[in-house]
Amino acid sequence: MIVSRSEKFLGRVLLVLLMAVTIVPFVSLFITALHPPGTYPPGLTWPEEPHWDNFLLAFQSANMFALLQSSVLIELAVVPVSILIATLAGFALGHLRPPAVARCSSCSSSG
Amino acid sequence: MFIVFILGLTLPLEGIIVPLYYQIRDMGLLNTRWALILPLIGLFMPFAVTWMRAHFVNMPADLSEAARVDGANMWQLFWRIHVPLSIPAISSLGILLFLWTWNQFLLAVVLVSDPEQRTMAGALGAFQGSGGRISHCCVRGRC
Repeated sequence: MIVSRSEKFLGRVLLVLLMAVTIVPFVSLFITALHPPGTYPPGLTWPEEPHWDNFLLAFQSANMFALLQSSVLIELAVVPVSILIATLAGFALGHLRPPAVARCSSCSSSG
Repeated sequence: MFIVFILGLTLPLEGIIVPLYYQIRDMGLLNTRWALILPLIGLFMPFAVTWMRAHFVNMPADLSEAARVDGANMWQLFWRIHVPLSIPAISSLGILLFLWTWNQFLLAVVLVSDPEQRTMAGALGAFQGSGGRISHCCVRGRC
């Protein structure tokens, strides 16, 4: 595909703009988290003394390890079972073509 | 037959959350992780089955016939030939399901009140609700 130079340039500028729009909120979150607790820092101002231990405190007070463990347990239960059932069902419906599917003349299928 | 699954894709979670609550309560599973696990498996079925069916429809039938000629029974045909071929579809499905389970909020908040049994999104929502407004408490995780 032959693309003109101006189109390439405009495309890249648009990509960079969209990347910035996506990343800036995360950067703002990160910088706000470094400020001393209880303050409302305006915009993207880097604090005089970054409080790196805010992350540790947040982890501990929100009981993050228990939450992570809970989420992981739920994931481990849901995802493998769902994939197994769906693969078996998809194989049956898609490849083996049970008679109910073959007889259905009004069904619009891809094959 | 698979039309049923495609119709299931149109079903909104918010529409069935109330009967689901009663059902889970009658099963005695409220406030446990099973209250999240079982409905989630059921809710993912329309999308997951449609996804895998779309993959298997594109597999040539000659492949299965050749395998049958070589003496494979149904189980071997499935596990040794079709599953290895569908690993890309299975892994993308796995990523999507992982993402949707991790972000599951409504189900977690309605069916489970103990924050330690919920998903992360549901548990962190408890911080937000306790103050009634988004404050630095929510962002930091404590006040």
